[in-house]
Amino acid sequence: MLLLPRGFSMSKSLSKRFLQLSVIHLLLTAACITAIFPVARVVSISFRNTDTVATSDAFNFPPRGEATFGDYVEFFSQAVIPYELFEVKETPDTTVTVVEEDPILVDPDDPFASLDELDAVDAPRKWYSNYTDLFTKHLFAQWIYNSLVISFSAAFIGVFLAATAAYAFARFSFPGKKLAGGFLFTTQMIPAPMMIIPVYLVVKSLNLGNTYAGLVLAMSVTTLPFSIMVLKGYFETVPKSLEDAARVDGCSPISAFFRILLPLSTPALAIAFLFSFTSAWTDFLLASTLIDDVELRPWTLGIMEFSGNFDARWGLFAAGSVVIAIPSMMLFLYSAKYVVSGLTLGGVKG
Amino acid sequence: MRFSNFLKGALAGLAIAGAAHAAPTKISFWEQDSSEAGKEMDKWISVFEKKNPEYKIVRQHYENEELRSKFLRSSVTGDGADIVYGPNDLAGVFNTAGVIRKVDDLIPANKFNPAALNIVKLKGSTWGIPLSEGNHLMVFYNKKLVKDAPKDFATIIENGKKMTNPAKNEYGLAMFQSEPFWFVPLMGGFDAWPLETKNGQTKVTINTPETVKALQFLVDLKNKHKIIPADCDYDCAKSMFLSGKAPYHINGDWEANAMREKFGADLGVAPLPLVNETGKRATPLLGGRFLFVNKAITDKKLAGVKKFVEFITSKNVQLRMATRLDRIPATLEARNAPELAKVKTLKPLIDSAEFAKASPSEVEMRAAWDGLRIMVQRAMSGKETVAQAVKTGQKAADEALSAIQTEKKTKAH
Amino acid sequence: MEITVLPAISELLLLLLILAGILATGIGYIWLNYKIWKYPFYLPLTLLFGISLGGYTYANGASQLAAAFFGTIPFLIGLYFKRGLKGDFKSSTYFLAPAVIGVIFLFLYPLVFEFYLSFRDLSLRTFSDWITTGHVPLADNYGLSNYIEVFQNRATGQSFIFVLWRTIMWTAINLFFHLSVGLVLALLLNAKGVKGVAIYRTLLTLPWVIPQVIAVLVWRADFNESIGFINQFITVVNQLFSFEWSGNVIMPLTWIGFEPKAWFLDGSALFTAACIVNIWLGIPFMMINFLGALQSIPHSVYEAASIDGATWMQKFRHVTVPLLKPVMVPASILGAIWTFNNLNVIFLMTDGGRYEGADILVTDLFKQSFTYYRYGFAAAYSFVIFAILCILTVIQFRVTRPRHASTT
Repeated sequence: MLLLPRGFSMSKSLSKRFLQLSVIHLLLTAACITAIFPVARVVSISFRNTDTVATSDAFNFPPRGEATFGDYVEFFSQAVIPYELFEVKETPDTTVTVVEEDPILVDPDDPFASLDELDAVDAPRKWYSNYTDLFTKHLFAQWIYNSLVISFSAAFIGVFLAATAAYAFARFSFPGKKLAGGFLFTTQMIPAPMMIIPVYLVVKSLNLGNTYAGLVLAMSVTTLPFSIMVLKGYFETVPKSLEDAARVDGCSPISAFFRILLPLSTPALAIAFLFSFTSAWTDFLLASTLIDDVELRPWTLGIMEFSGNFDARWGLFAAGSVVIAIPSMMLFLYSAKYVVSGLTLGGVKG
Repeated sequence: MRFSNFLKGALAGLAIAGAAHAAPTKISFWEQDSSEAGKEMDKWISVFEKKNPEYKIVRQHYENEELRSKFLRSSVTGDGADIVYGPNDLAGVFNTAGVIRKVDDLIPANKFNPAALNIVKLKGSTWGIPLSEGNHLMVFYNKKLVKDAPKDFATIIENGKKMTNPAKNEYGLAMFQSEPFWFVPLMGGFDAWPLETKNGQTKVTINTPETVKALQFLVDLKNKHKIIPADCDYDCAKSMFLSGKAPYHINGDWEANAMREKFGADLGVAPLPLVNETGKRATPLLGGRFLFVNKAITDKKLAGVKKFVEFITSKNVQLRMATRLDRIPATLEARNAPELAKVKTLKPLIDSAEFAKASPSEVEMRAAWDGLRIMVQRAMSGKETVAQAVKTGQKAADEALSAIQTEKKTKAH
Repeated sequence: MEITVLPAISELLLLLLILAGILATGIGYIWLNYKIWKYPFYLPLTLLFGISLGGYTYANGASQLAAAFFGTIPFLIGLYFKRGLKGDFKSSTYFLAPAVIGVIFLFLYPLVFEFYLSFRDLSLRTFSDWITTGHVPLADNYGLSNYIEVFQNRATGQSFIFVLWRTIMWTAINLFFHLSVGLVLALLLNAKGVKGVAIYRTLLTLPWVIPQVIAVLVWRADFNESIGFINQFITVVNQLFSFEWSGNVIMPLTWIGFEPKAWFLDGSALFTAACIVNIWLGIPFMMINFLGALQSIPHSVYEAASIDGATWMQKFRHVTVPLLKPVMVPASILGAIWTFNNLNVIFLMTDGGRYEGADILVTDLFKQSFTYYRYGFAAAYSFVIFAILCILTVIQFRVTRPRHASTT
């Protein structure tokens, strides 16, 4: 849209077009500023050592009549990009360490002596230490790996389960089809806290508590309804005649499904896969219900370790969030166009 | 280990029976302490395991609320941790739910400071093994801004007024002002207390003239003396003090180390001041950290737990806790040790603990917190007058109480 | 720190093995049913099988409810074969089997369990009974007291109807802004000749990809009454638009409520703040969805429209909107459901329920039930929310369906 209207003289339409474009850019820039503003703060916190979120510096704005245009510009620019972000490099944290002789541990047979020596070698804090600490002092890399493993396998299993069921919904009629479809859609409305205990009990009774496997199983089923809706919609758009032809050639329905329909439906499979992957990647509730061990936690759970009630290390938390945001953004930008076509194709038909 | 468990379940019967035989007894240990404490605990564990190779202790860290709900949930299937380490109020919740066992038979009572044991005594039995006392509030002050420790609130108000300059975000006092944990010490200073137990029945007592006075005092700090900001949460208060925008800061012992690191010699620590009106000190709640034992624990593991408890309440470990984690030790042996007196950093914490009251461990306290929170918020926001807020708080607490005590009520009828 | 890689992989391979086992059992079970459904002893046999399965699970330590559930399922399947399938629909049954097994375990059973629990008095006091004996006492009033209590007024003056009303407002406000702002941004990005779309798009998706906990936390710090940015911003903007009139400073923006607020202590301000944060968080999702849909509309359609002399407005109404509708309708329905049940934002904005006045149904459920571990009450409350949401969705379907149906 916003095409050149016909019948305008060239110069007039050019200037109008320029105006249009500058308005568009202005609006988009304003939107970007709103989007960036808290995110920039997260970045600036990620370099902090003090572990508080609040910035206590008030911006001393001059009273009415004295404020100049420059003051306004300064105020708003500081809001978007906290100055702290630039100061951080120049003022490396010099933590005041109270050097005191350890008064107690002089006993040479002390079993702790060798252990204490180990952590005595602590590198001095740098301005980027929060980022390096994530990987050297905490299991952050492990958590990301866990998340990847869990999300990939949950998405694979979820898509397989969804594809077969969606095929039955799209191609066959069977008694109770409407009821089953309605039930699947209804599951989307269950309030999340409701499922905590029973899902925990089920997974425990399958002897899969505190394992990757249990979490993968639970996650792959929770995204099932959405995936079925998407895939069913897409399967309906694939002409049935293709499979019928294969059936005439002596193909069983199962091999017709695997050999004919699935290869034709890669876009829809990608949508379902990406949707399951994303929801597993960002899931917190299921993981916190089913996983105990720190080595098994996905990043959503692991990162919460830095947010303790009275022991919050928001610097580390923010650094972790920034690290996570990068792959999440790539995933989101890449998957979004598939998800949208999934919505278009599948529709939501109860 | 987990992997072999899984194998056993999945391919029942195919599990390798031999491997399980030689393996040490695994004791799972859940805690909710800070990360520094976590590192220290790992050291205890590795020293303990070297001495007792027949046991293996597996530590897992959780956040406070998560630890509670997780332990309750896991207890249903019998998978809860064997020992849980956390603040004293876990005793009320876990004891009411019947998921922890009494520990009277595990520890000699005369080994511990009676005050510490008292905190987790419910219905005549001890439900947790005290490791440290603490979790109490005190005043931190910035010696660059004020020279002396505040004796009474009048001093704080007087000095605070000089420092307050809202245009620069500078205030006399920084604290988590709408949180009841910061208000209950004032109640103590005014002779009010949120819980009352009579004939075995615990009641919440918020609607009292003393509470009204205490609440009025808090509201006055904001509206009359104007030494605290309009609203300030935990993070806001801490960052105000750290950046030198407030001379006085009320916070807990858990921040002592962070404060020292930031201010060094400029940090002053003092007990909560006197309330001039009554001449009594504000009484912070003194809790502590305790070890709770799962009710469903096996005898074999219990023997290990007993050994572990002996080890972590030994003098050496208790003193390490004092020096490295700023915790007041719970055993008499460590408290009376001459080494402890040398730990300068711990002295102000012990001094402020002297004026503290034991933090109630009863589950009913949860209801009191709820009522108090609503009361403080409504009064501080000016939504309700002090008199109204106290009534609302009492009502809300009573309602919450009836939710906890449903069964009691039906039995009585 | 070193990463341990191997356990995950071996565990997942085992999971595949288990799944294959379950699947084979399921398929075999269906095959057997097809073989024998016609015989007169079929139904009694399924009944017998169900009873033994239930007995087996019970003997293995499952609760009575679980035993009853897994005891009835085979009989129900038997009935379905006998009355419904009658030997037909073979392929569809096989194709459905894997998903149905999953849904039975992880959706149907939990629902049945929670439904049972909603009539029971499971709280801290009865918790130990549940663990030791597996028995939970029936709630008062023939088990209905949990439901009755959901609708009772609270001591703090908060009634169920009011929270419901606030939830509906929450959903409507958020959905409106998500859809409208998302659409506008998508249109702007899709406008012809705009350079740097990739950069804009990347920046605009930031709110969606940053973990919510930290994003909300930063917002909360900005909403602080005395030192937060928002109130300073409002003061500065008011100053910018102020003028003097007969000696008084007039700030016209304050007339529409644009003034510094006690964001956390004032309930309605807190609700506004939560809405702002959630709108900020949710816009990118809708924007990217709409952008994808807009990009799939070929430019030739617009060119044809302009040749016919259509104005900008006409093109928007007659080309863009109808082509966007297939995305808009499902996106708004799912968006409404997800917003209605959005626990995170309000929970985090109210500092885990510390501040009152902004609760919606789900957060109220969380606060009312899990502070005191009232599982029975929580189940009843969940079902009430679930039922309300079902009714509202049916209404929403009725509103959006007729025109939508005519296009397909």
